[in-house]
This record gives sequence, C-alpha cells and structure tokens, in this order.
Amino acid sequence: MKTKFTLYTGLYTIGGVNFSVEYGKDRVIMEMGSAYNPATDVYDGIVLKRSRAWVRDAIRTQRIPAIDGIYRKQDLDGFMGLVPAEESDLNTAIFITHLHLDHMAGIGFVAPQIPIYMHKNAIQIERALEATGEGVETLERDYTPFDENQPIRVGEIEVLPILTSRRSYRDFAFLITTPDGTIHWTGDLSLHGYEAQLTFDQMEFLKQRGVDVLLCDTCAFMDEILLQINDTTDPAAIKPSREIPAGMLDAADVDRELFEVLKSKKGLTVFNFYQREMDEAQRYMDWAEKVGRICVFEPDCAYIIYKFFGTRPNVFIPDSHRYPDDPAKQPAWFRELLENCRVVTREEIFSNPSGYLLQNSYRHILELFELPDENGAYLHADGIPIGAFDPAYQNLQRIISRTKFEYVTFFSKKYFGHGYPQQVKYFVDQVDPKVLIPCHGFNPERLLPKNGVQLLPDLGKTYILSNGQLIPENEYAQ
Amino acid sequence: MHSELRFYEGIRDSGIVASITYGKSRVIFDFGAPFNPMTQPYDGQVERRNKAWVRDAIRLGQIPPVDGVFSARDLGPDSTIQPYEESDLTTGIIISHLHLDHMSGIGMVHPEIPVYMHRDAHKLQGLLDQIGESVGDRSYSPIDLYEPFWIGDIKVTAYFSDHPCAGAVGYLIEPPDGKYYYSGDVRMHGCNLDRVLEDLEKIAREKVDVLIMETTTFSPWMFARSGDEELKASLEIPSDMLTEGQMMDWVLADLQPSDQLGIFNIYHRDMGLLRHLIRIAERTGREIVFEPKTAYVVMNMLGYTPHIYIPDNREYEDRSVPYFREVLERTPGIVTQEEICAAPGRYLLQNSYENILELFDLPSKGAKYYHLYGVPLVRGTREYENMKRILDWVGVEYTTFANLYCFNHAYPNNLLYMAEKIAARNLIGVHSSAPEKLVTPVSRQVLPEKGVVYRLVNGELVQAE
Repeated sequence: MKTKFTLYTGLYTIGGVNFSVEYGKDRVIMEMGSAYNPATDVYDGIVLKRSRAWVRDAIRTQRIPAIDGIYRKQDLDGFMGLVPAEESDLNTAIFITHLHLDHMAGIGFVAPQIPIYMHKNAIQIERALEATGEGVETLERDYTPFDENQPIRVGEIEVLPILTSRRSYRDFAFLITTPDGTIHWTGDLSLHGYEAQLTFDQMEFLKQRGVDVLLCDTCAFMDEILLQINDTTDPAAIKPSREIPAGMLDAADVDRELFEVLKSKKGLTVFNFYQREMDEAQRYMDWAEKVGRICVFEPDCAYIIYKFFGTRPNVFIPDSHRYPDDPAKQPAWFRELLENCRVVTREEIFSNPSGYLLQNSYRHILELFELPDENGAYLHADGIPIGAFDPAYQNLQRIISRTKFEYVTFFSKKYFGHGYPQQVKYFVDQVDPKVLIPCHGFNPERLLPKNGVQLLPDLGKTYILSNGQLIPENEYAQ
Repeated sequence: MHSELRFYEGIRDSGIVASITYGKSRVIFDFGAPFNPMTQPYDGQVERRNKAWVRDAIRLGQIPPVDGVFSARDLGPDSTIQPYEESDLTTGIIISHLHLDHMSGIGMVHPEIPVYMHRDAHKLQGLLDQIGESVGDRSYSPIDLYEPFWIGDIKVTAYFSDHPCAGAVGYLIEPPDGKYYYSGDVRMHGCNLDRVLEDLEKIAREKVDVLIMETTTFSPWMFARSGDEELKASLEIPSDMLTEGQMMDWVLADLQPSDQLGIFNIYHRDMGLLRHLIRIAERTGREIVFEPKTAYVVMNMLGYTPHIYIPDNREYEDRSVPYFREVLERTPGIVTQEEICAAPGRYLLQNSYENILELFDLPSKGAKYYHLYGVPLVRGTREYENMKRILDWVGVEYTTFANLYCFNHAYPNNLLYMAEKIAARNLIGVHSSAPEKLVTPVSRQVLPEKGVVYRLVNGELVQAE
C-alpha cells in the first residue's frame, strides 16, 4: 500500500488548487475551488445555468475538478466515466483552508455524504451567505467543523489544521501525514499581515517536523509584482528574506493610509468591499466610530454581521426587488434582520451626509444616483469588480463618473495580499522540503527550492510518495 | 401656427425618439434606447432598481428626458422634467416596430398616453409580455395599415415596411400644415418587394414635405460592405450581398445533404425568418423543434404548432405558467435529448444563446449552426466571444450572415432609391453614424441637431428661433 498524490487543478492559475492524497481506501481532498477569471466566465448574465446538468456543466467549464467518487450518481449520469460517490469504495473527506471562492466555490456540488471540513467560523459565514442567496450553489448538506491544531483522522491519513489567521472565518494550512510521509499545503500564504507570526510559527513547526512534499502559494511571483520589487523576473534574483521588500507595505501600513483617506472626506463616504470579510466589516465599524460616522450596511452583509458577531448593524435598504416593502413577501432572513436592526433611510443620509459610512455593493451601484454625492467619496476596497481584468470594472467606472462621488481605490501598487516572493522563498528554504510543488500563481516555476526538487506535476496524473519523493505511478510500477 | 419637429435621440445612433407638435397636439415617434451592447449598464450583475427604474433609465441615457411623458411618481420630486400630469399636450406615441431600439422605453410612459402599433406588433407584444419579455405593465393600441387615426389635431396613417419584425410600418404624420413621413426601419431585399414598391408609390402621391429616413447601412461599422461600390439609387442588391430569400436558399442547400443536426439561433420577433425555417424543415424532411417561448410565439403568430425541446433550467420547471401550459397542451410532442442524439439528421432545432449549454449534451460536433440574427450579434462583446468559445468547444459548423452577407436594413443604393421615389421637399437621414450620406437630387437635405426645434414654414423645415 502506497500514498498516492494527484494535483487536479491550480498549478498555473490564481487559486483553484485542488489535490488529493490517498492511502489504501482512505482519501483526503484539499480545497474545492475554481480559478477566478470573470472575463471568460461562461455565465455572463445571459447564459442560463442548467438544473439537472449543473455538476456536469461545472466540470466541463472547469469550475470544479473531474474527480472520481465525490459527485452524486444522478448528477454525473455517466459523465466522463467518473465513479459516483455512491459507488466509490474510498473513505473520502474534503478540507477547506478558508472561505475564499477560489478555494471553496465548488463545495456545494459535492455529494452530501462526503464530509467537508471547515472551521466553524467559516461554516457560520457560509450559512449566512446561503440564507441570503449569496452562498455557493448547493444541495442540502452539512459541513463538519474542525478546531485549530487538532488533528483529524480519515482512516489512516491524518490532517492537521494549522491556524494562519484568527480573523473572521479563519485561515489554515494543512499538514497531511500518511504512513509513507508528509505533505503540506500552505493555503494562502502571507508573511506581512497582522498575524504574520502565525505563519512564521508554522514555518518553525514544519522545519522541526520535516516535510516531504510542500505545496506552496506563489501568487506574488507574477511579472507585475516581481518587476516592482526586483526589476527582473529572474528567479535567481529572489533572495530569501524574512523582511518585507523595500518600498512595499504591510497590512498595517495600508490600513493607516486608508484611515487617513476616510478622515479627510467631508461628505458621504461609501465603500465597496468583499462582504464576507467580517474582520474588514469590523474595521469599517471601528473607523466610523473613530471619525464620528454611523456605519451602515446593505441587508445581505448586515445579516452576516448580525449572525457572526451577534451585533445589530445599521441597515440601508437599496431599491431592489430583493427587499420588498410588503412583509408577506419578505424572505425570512430579511424579516429577521428588520426585526433586530435599525434601518437608516435615504432621507436621514441626505440630512447629514458626512455622518455616514455606507456600504455599496456593485450590484446596487445605481443607488449612488440617489445619494448625496456633493463632496462624496467612493472607496473601492476589494469588492467586485476588483480590477480592469473584470469586464464589469469599466461599467463601474462609467456609472461612478455619472455622479460627483470621487473614486478612491484601496488597491495599492505597493501592497499585495499574498506573501512577497522573497518572504515566500525564505519560508520554503527554512522548511526545506524534499519536494516543492509551487502552485496557485501564474509563474510557479519561479519558486525554486534550496535543496529539494521542484515538481510541476502533470495535472490529473497520479504520483506515488516513496522515500520522500513523488514518482509517477506508471514509472513506480515498473 | 407651424408644426414643429424635434429629435431627442437617434439622429446619429440607434434608438429613435422624436416628436412632431402642432399646437397642443404631439406625436412622438418611436421610443427606444440606443443599442450599445459594449456599454450596457445592466451587465448581469448590476440590478435594475424597482421604484427608480425610469429615473435611472433617463440618467443612463436609455431614454431621453421628454417633458410630459413620464409620471410624476416615476420622475420623483426633484426632477427638472415636466411630468405628464402637468402637461397640457395631447400626446400619442407611435411605434414603427418591436425591435428594442425602437420601443424599449414604452413601458416607462404614463399609462394614460396611448402607444400605437400595428395590429401584428400589438399581438406579438402581448405574447412577449407572457414569456418574460415585457417592457412594462401597460396596454397598447392596435392600428391597421392605411387606416388613419388622430392624435389631437394630427392625422397618422401607417404604411407597410418590409423590415423583418412582425408588424413593421412607417408612418405618414399629418399636422394641418404639412406632411411628414417617418420610414421606421426599411428593407428592399426581403421577400415583399412588390408591397414595398406599391406603398412607395402611395407615399409619393402624398407629396410629402419632410421625409425622415433610416440610414443604418451608411454606418461602416454596421455594414461591412459599405463604401466599396459607387452609390447610385437603384433596386439592385450590392454585389456579394444576399437577399433574405437567397440567404435562406443557402441554408436549405447547405442543410439538405447533411445528416447532422441542424441548429438555428434566431430573434423570435422576426416572423419572416421563422416561416422560412419551417419551410426549410419541411423541404429537408426534418422536424423543426422550438424552445417553449418561441413555440408560443410561433403558435400564436403563425398558426403553426411545432414540436418543442425543453431546455434544462429553472425557467421551465414550473409547468403551470400560463404560456408554458398552453404550449404543452398544443404541441404535437416534446422532442427529447435522447431522440435527437439517436437521429440528429431528423431535426432542425432552435437553440437560443441563453440555452447554449444545451449543446453540451446534444450531438453538436459537426452540427450545422445557423446564426440568424439571434443574440449576441456584435463581435467583440463579452457575450459574442463567450458564444464563439462555447461553439468552438462543442465543435459545431458555424455560419452567420449578419453584416457580412446580409443585413436587416436596406442597402445604401436602395435607401437612395426610396428617398428619390418619395421625393419629399426636405430629407432627413437618421439612425446612422453617417446620416449626411443620404443625399438625393430631388430633395433638400436637412441635418438636424438633437434637442433643436425645427418648424415647417411654407414647406421648408427651418430652425426655430
């Protein structure tokens, strides 16, 4: 019996890493997300999703990986010869590092009998998202919570969730141990956030423990980041360092800059953020308090805050069919929200524009037309559409330009959310795995190991873990 | 008193909105939004607002700010536009045909303002309302060809147009001091040239003062072959271009010998093409199969009850929806995916863009896919590129005619022929990026500006002071 490793997707893409580790009849699958590429998304607002073919279409359009034994028979209907979950003899479990869609957008497609492990905070937020219709497309199913640093056994495989961020839904890395060795997945790697120490602790732990195979996030190894830091994309120029590269910012620097922006604004300030990020929601509420504004959220986001923090956020109700005036037509979650939270009206905002910090999602951007825009500011802080790579970004710019709101982007060329290349290199060199699989980036090949071998696996091909090396299954048999 | 002409939209763009006023009587002709798929604000993510939709449409340039047309409630208290309730004009809106760039705004109009359209268009709009293509909850007034009706002191009469949309017409608009003719969208390469010529004679006999003529094909970006030939008024079809009949003969000849599935993507407001396809299916011994919404239109507009194919999506999960129930009751049969896979060459199947993923589970490889003016039409748009990616993916044999070989608007030389035939004293080209190219030796060209008022004085259109 040998440990088998298969990477299905996510080698040369931002996100969408999905791989499995199998030992005998036991199997763990890491992540169930899809790479983010709005410019080529099949569902463009006109093309309709199919009902019975939803799983098959998701596999065809590469939103989820083609893996045996995890999808329902009725959904596959013989598609690609994939073995349905009902007919698989594997003991499978799926693990999710954190609640970003490129790591978990596909969890709803999985047969309900396959356990999906997420931290309880992530489950709480996902459930709130599902209640408002913002969650993943899903069957009725349960999610299984795990605790940090408490190993989970899936037959003979052990998965150790290592905490990398305490914020919001929490972030994890996973150390997978089988009788043949260890495979570690960093998840999203950051060494310059508020909790960088957790990642350095992870590094020390792995260094002591020893790792056979390391799968590492290489998001920051793309041209535009490397050129900014090193003036070259040559991997040899990436010198390992624990420090933040000169001229680049850490998360606290960015926050300080943003707060200064907010303080300087005289009129209504609206913000567009990724509304599942509860730590950021909290940050806006804190900032509003500091500058004497009232922070107000759209109902969907307010509901997550209400459920996650147990607090009662202020709510602004956009003019949308989603939020009917008639209580009889209101969805249960919306009624519950209205019964427990204060509604801030348009008139109140008009009477004192500078007294408010108001969330505005892209979906409801036309609200800007009927909000006080004199001296107003629109803070674009990672809410979709994030950048010019998304066709919707130009539309957002056009609509804002029809108002007097000043567009302020929170995107800084001196800041990147994933680990800077020198720091990632430092992390990898310290861990010093026998096999390094760089992934989750456009240029994974640029992350080179100090002593071990770099492996860019063939997607979908099975490798055997033997004596700390990954050997293609067909070669191993010979 | 002089009649006054004013353009709000559509001189150098699609989406015509213009008015002719005489005293307290006003006729507004067409009421649509410019067709700008590259800058469509409702991109599938941005949501239409409920109470503010009319105000938003004005702000977004989807409908012009015409006084006395919208309700005070829809305009809101801060609007600078005069609401209908405060207008002393007797207004009527006349619609040339049901393409969205000519009528997408009619649902925003105050319900007490009558909106007129040809009886066939009226019937079609009623069907579209049922299948989720309503543009607003209101009633419309049907009119017939050559039967005059009055909007205050202004007499209006509809004439035939061979534009492919059901119930397409042009309008003779007669205030007491003169005659205006608005062509709507026109074509001389459809299958009804005799009727076009007959009505041209009738209109010419009216001695029109002002001809307002669409000139879509003068826009090079709309008509790939424009500019290659010397422009002279004629009935000829430009070289390399096809008539509608030739185009459909091409489809027939292409499909006849094939044993592959035939697929078409069509705009189901255009009855002529639907009739052609039904005939092609008969001649090739294939069963023509429609999606339920189009089947509903076909059954009620053409009196033909086709087989249907039910795409796999939520739209068709509720069989109690009235139109869907009617289709299910009347159709001779539901054709299944399995039946099509078993004998692809027996079918000619509709596939609209919204249901394009159906091609994944159909015998699409090598299938004949005819893109016959169904959305998405404009190359470079996200939707068009998405469609092409999916079609390449499934391996259909793709054929399109739009712009390159055939077009739904009269070719430039045909437009000149029509303008010369009508021989109005004043000639205005509209609905084009190059309306100034519409020049004839028999009329005085007027190039109006948006928002400017022109008066008809002694048969000449002059800018009002």
